Amino acid sequence: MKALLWKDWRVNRVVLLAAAVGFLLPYFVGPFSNLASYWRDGCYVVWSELLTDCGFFSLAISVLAVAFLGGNAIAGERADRSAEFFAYLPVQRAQSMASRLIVVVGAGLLVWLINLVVVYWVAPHVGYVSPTLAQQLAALRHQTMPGITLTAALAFGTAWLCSSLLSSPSIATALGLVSPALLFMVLAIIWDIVRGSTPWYEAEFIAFWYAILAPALACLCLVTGCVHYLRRVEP
Amino acid sequence: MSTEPVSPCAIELVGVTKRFGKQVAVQDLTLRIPAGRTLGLIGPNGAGKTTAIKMLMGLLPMTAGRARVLGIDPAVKPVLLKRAVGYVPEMHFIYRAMRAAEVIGFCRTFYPTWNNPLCAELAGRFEIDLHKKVKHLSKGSLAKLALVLALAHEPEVLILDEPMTGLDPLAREEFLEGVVHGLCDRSRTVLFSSHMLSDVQRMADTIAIIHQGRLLVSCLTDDLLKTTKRIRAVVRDGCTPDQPPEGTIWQRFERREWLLTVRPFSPATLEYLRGTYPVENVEVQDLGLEDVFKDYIRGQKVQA
Amino acid sequence: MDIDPHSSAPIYQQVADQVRRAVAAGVYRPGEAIPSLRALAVELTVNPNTVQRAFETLEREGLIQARKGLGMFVTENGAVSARRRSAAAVYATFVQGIRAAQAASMPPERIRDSFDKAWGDTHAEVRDEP
Repeated sequence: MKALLWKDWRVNRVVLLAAAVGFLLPYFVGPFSNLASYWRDGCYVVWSELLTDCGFFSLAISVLAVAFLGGNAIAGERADRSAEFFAYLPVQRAQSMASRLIVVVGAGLLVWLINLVVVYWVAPHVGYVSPTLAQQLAALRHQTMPGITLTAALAFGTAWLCSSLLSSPSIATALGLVSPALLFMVLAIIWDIVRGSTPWYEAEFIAFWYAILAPALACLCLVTGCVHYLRRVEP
Repeated sequence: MSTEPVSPCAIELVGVTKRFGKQVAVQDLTLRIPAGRTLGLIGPNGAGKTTAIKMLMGLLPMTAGRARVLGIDPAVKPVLLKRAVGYVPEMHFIYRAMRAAEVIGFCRTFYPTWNNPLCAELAGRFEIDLHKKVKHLSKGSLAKLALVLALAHEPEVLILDEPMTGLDPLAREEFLEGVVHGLCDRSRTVLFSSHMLSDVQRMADTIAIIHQGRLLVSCLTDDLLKTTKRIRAVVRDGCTPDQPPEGTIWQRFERREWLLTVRPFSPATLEYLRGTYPVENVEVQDLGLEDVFKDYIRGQKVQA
Repeated sequence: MDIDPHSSAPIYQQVADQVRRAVAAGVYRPGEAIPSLRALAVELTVNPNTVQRAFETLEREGLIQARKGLGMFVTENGAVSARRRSAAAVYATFVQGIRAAQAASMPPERIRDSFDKAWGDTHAEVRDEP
């Protein structure tokens, strides 16, 4: 199992490093541009608000990253055909799949956890936070965090399923990225149809159903992807 | 070694069929290789050799039939089968960004029978630069690396699918010598498919000829060459032979010269010829493996 | 030593012929060891089973004898029988030539003339050698 984890790290090395750079980028760009605007015209954003914004940006970038990692997880080795080499090594499919999931989901979870810590435990206590600001940030957190998390989960689940079915990591990644937008569009269309018969506003309706369907679809895609990969004979 | 009684089959394909949609790649293939034997699987491009081998290794699902290697069913216990088999494919897709040493370090964790000193000895004999990245290895070195990976875990069975494609003559010889050393180390069953019929004739004690997914013939190399003869007969003017003798694989009649390849050849064949047609100057030639192979395939093409 | 993969003669027979020829020529003298099975298999790039079969054939003929753990050794009368077999091989070659000539409808005198000419030519080559 150790060897498999090493292999999955090694094969995904570039994508993992790019994801690391990607999710850390806002934490450098944000403070830097803040300092620049302070030197230029004396205005700056309060640290706690800045860090919260950076956290959300980072999470948004990590949606891209998990889609890439998911899309590359299985299809990546098919694209360069190294999957055909790996196929004749005496490795159980289940173990190989577990190793891929650990590396890819592990990376995604790590990023999410770091951002979670920053947004929930670091940002609210950095510098001076006025009560109004604290309330605003709390409201922002409660609105945005779940949405981004569920979007990332759905993107990953779809990318993983497509990676299991297809041989092109780029198509799998693209489909992964498109799926949250697609779900959003479908919900908007449904609301248009049922708006007369429901007392909710559009935003509430979409938010409610998105919160239910996104994780459900993400789990469904993940499980389907796993089952397909386990049952398939070809690499 | 060669005078053993019939041993249980190390490799078995029974009624194996593979269809890709409407196309039939392998048709009802039955092949049995007893333990310790080397079978040379030969056939034109697209005959189904690689498909059959992939099904044997469990890399491709079968449409029908069954396959066993050392009694193991590839559909049921693929990991056990792969541990017992040393496999060298035609095209190598070993992780290009890894160094050869890293690939070896990675692969050996999956084989309980891996022999490290043997691996080092093989890598040394083949002069593979283990610090080079796989993408920088020459074709010959890459094939030899694949052979090292196949031999280092001391498998009972070797399956080589056109392993020397694209290698220069020296690399080919070095590769084959490596296989011979492997056969000297311990008794192994080998399934070996190749286009280089001279290599097959040197290494295989049994030959199987495959064409369009069907098995044409499978027998000991020596028997095949002993019982297949080409007859050259000059037929007197005006007569066109239309009933070739029994066992004719291929024939051609042009300007009084009648060439035919017959298996099994016997004196009765000549009697039939002399008795049925006005022939003169009948000459019987021995054939090498290449000619036997070509005649079998040509004969099939004429029938089709 | 080399074998011809394109020939119709079984490989084990070719290997046996090569060893016989070497013994007949005096490369391996009575009491000396011939190359091991592995060495011969690797040098000729043939299946070791084939070499084993050749060894068994030669052992049955009495050309070589196995000494436990040490390999195969040329027997005392091995050289003699090797020369006899070489002569038989030459005879077979002549027979093949004559049959080919007969198939080409050559009359007997023409066949003899052809042989004499060939004899003369090969001896001229030998005389020209330094």
